[in-house]
Amino acid sequence: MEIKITHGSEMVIKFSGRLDTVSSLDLQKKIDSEEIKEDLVIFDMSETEYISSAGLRLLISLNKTLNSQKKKLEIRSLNDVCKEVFRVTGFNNVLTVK
Amino acid sequence: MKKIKFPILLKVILAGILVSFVASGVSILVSYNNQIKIARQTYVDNIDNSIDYLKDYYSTADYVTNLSDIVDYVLNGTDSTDRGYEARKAAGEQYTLTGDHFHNDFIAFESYYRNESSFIFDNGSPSLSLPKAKFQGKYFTLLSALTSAQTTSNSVAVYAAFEKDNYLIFLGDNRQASLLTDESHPYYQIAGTDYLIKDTDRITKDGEGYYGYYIFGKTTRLITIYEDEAQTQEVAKIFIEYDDSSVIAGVRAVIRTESIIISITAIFIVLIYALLSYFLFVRNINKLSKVSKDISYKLEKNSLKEPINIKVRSRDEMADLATSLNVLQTAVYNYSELVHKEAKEKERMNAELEVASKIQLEALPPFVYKDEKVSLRAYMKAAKEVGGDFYDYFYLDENRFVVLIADVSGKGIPASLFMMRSKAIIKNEILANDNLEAAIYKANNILVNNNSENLFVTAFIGVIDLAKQEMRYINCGHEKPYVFSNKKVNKIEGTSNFVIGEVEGFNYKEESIKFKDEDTLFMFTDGLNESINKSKEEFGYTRIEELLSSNNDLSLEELFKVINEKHNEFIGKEQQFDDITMISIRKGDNKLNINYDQKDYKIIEDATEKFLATFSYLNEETKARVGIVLDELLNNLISYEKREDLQINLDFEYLNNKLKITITSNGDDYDPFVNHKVKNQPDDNPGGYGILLVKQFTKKQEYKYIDKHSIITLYL
Repeated sequence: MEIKITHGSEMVIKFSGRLDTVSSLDLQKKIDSEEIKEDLVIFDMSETEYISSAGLRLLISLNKTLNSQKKKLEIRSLNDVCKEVFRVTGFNNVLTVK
Repeated sequence: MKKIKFPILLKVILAGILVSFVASGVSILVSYNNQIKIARQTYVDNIDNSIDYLKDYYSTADYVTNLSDIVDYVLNGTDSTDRGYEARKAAGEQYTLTGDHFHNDFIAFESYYRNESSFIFDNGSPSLSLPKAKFQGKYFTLLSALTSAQTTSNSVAVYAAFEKDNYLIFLGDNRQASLLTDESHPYYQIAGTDYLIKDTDRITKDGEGYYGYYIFGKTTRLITIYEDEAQTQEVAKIFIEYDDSSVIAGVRAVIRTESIIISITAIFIVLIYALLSYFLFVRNINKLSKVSKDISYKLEKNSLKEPINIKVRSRDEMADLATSLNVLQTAVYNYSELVHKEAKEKERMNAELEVASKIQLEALPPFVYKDEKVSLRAYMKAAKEVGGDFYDYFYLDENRFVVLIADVSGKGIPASLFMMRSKAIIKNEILANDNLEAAIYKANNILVNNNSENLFVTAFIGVIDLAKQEMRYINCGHEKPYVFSNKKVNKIEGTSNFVIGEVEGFNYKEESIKFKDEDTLFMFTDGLNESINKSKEEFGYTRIEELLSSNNDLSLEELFKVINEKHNEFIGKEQQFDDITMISIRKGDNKLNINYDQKDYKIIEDATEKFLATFSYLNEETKARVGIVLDELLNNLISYEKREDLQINLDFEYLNNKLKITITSNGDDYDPFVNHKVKNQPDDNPGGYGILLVKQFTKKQEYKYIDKHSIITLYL
């Protein structure tokens, strides 16, 4: 598991590995320690092997926080399994997935 | 840092300056010393000559000893014809000392010099206080000391002094000198300076009061004058001093002039020497140096189009050097051309070999193969870029797996080409024939033909029947492989048939051994057992057997790692001289069972890792799905089960392209699939999505509660 966060015109969170129960906790801690100044946060899943419901929980909570600050979350570069997870749970309708 | 250049010509000039400086210095010094010596000698000689004459005179002349006689004579003369001073003065005549008339000291002088001059008393002086003598056109003052002495005693001593070239010759008859007081010591005068004659320097003889005086100075001469002809009674001593510093000053002046001349001459000589050096050899050296530099620069840059001919006209070593350089240059040029060409050729060859090596490796199946039935690991390291070893493996049908290892005689390109051919033919024949014996028989016959180089292949071909747990094999002159389990290591003995590619129509014999689920086959080429270490010791079979025996519990990946480590350790820095190939196979890992007795989210990660390691041959999507399923179900168990002594057992089995996962726990009777409520709309609480995902990613889910254990079974 590896988390890379870069700031700029938009904040990019790149998660590599399996986004499951344990790694979600680590990712949450990491995000909590960041000051989000950008209006747009991109969650880059190009290196994410799969995402379980624990990961979804994290994303929905992050989305909620950002929306309350009039900010946006965008989820990008999902592999087939991740796409399926989003599709099955209907999260692709709630979250911005590109 | 670049060193400052120090050209030969500069060295030549500096050497010339140094040599001429030393030579001039030495010659000036020698000349100076000689001149000083000569000057002093001349000086002394002159004086000595004068004195010798005086001595002669004193010893032979009839002389008077009392000054009063002289005075009397001078004043009064001796007869009417030769009247004295007074008489002549009275007569108004000039007084001149002449001739042989008087035997006194003055006369002595006069006699000595009479041929050239005469003594003339100063006509202007009425007394004897300052008489003068004229000698060789020069006036000499008879010093006042004489007067003083005379005046005091009226009959004291005869003193005479004259100057000659700044040197004073002093004569004295000092029999009465004892009368002198210190204050009235005689003195003499040189160039207007008075010098006192000290009586402390008196020379006394026999207590008779005869004294000699000398004049202080650096250089003195002492003359003893005797009273009689027999030279028993000294009359007077003559001391002569001259001023050495003036001699030295004179010589120095001369030397100074000489030095300037010598220096100028030396400069000219150095210039001529430098010019000669330049034209005789420095020019040629420069030429050689320049051309050599040019050549080496061009050689270095590979821009020397053709050898440059160096021309040196002189007939000395320079010409030899130029000739040698020309020869050397041509040789280097030709050699570098050759090397350049060869390097290019080699580069091309290397590039091609690299490609060839890649192609050859690509002709072989991957080093790692895993499915639910077999687990295989291969390793090959060619001694050169391409090698003659090869291995192959493939399914013959659902249950029969062919694995073979082979070694073509020789190494490098020829072996590799033959290897490519052999590999294709052997595989083709095995696939085409139902019977292994027939397949190898045919393959052999094909390879025997069109094999003018007489290359051959040793091979071990095994066909593992996974259902029957046996292996049928043909060993064609190859190293005997091992079958090992956690109980034993066995060498596959049995018929060693003839090699492939040598004898047409050879009948290969097939044999069979048991190959049980726990067994592992390990095959290798002689590159492994015949590798040698520094002390020329072979790696040998014993080491292989020991390694297999002590590492039988390792995965094939780990086993190969250990073998490679130990082998590298053994050979050390020795060069690998033969291709090394190993291949090992055992029944596939299609089962995994893990127990957990702790309630910790960490077990999710552990279970996932273990699953992925065992079932690495499954496709990525399946592995991801299993990962999600495990995460959801284990998370549920750990999160919602109340009991602290939670025990979880995970069982995986992959059979006939189906994966079965069983999760057993001592938790409550709770069927997650029944109680799961499907949400129509995602909301802030994603609970329940986990089970949704599990259902999505598994084909079938079962729940049972048996014997106080909840059992979830999933099929993928």
